[in-house]
Amino acid sequence: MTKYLDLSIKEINNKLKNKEIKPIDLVLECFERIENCKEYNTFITLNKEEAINIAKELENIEVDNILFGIPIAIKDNIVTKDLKTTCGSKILSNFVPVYDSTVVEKLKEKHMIIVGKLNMDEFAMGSSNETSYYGPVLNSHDKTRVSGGSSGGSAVSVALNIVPFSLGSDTGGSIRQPSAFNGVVGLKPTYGRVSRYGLVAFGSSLDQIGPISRNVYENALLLNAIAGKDEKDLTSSVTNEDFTRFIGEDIKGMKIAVPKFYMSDVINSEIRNRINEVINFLTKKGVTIDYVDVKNIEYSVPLYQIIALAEASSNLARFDGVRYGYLTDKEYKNVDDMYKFTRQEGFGDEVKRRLMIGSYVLSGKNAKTYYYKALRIRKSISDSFESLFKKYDLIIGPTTTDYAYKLGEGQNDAVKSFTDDLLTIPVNMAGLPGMSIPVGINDNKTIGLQIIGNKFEEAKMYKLASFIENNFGGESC
Amino acid sequence: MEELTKEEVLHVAHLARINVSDEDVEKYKIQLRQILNEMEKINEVDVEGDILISPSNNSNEYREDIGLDEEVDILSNAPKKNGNYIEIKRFVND
Repeated sequence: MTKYLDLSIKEINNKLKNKEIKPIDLVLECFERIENCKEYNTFITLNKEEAINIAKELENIEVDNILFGIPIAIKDNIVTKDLKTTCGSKILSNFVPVYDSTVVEKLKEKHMIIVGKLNMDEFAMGSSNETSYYGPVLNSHDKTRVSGGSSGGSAVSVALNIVPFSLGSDTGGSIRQPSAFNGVVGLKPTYGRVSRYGLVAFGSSLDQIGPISRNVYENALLLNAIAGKDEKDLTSSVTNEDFTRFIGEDIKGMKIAVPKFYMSDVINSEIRNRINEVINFLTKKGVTIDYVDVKNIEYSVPLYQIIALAEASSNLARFDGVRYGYLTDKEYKNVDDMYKFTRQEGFGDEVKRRLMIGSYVLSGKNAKTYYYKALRIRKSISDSFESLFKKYDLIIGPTTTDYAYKLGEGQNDAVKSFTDDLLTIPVNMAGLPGMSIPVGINDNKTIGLQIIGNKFEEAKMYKLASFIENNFGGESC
Repeated sequence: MEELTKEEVLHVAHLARINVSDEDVEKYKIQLRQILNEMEKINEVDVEGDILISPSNNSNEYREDIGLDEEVDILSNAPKKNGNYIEIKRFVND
């Protein structure tokens, strides 16, 4: 078995340019790895035949960029033309999109090769990948533990080095939390940095697509490829920058804030200790660190339950059994029953709970009591971050409150899938960029450090992330 | 912890257009209450001022009313169809 996929993207790129290897070598190696790692359940659909054909076609095209010919896998809520897209749900088990999402179009322009669609919590609702209709993804470091979610397949496929890159999506932590649980680098970009066209909507004011990779530099390379203005997504923004440009620069003089809430007793003490070691190290290297308050940040979980679920109940109303997706076999006498049976049978438990809550908070007087109140608190959190970024370059803290837990452990707790995202949700509420980078492993359990930036300042985040990676990445505690 | 009533569960299930079995009702009475309890924590906050619906600062843009994509078969995923039509069962109002 060849081992080209263990090389850095730069090295692979050189070998492709020198004609030492061909894209087909990478693709075949990738599918061999997929086969060997089957038990982790990372993929829902493979794109083998098409990937091989594209790899062969690329032999006649000059290697024109660093991502040329590189295999990548896509979370299954990002639509891919002629390639099944299930969202981890029974209701879309036969759904074959008729168009490509903008991010997938961009990857194809770079001649990246899509090898398949990745397992995920159903409709990205969950934080352990256990809500997938296609079964849970297993943790890359310990098969008895959860992968995290909802982008579980995206994080584990990169952690196992099946693919060097994947795309995930993040509504309340769905890129960062599984990245932390599997020791990979995952970025949720600024809201608007990456087009959401073709991302099956969950919470439209919170959702972002983002890159997951083995290291910081390669993460920035993938963001370069997918960022930018798209006329099909009015919330997207113009991007004319190279996100790798500050990597390697000295971090001396940087000002960093640590929210006190992120270092409270709620956080596992081993994780807190590790983050403190990073903080002490940064201080020695000339970084100023202050502990700060973010107003109302402790309400991020109820805020998410209200805002994300209200948006979800509206977005998922489109699954009616008429235009696409599953339709009930039961006899029905009226249109409501057609919807109700279809949705009862097509959606899983977590999704049904969330849609009921979402409908509830928007109905009648509740809209004022819950939804509008939550939007006011959201504004206050966003304002608080805005004033912090007038004084500080970046914010850091842990990504998660605890390690990856055992499979099945959270199953009887309807609230756990929300509280898992305690430290990641505030970032989505304010539309900020946030990333998780690995800073240590304890007894096969990985620790993620979260870096939060001001809007559209991902390049600065990569600079700090790379510095920390060089000193802490992959190291045992 | 006060559970939701059966009527309350059936009401929210109707709003979400989801059929629930009797067994499910018993489960949701507890689970939905757990989530609502968490949500109600926002009642502790005293907050005035603006709302934030979307973090985007972009304003609306208009474009020419022309098709952007190649012609695609938008009916290809319909569970039932008949020629160029999506087919559903006939409903007669009560």
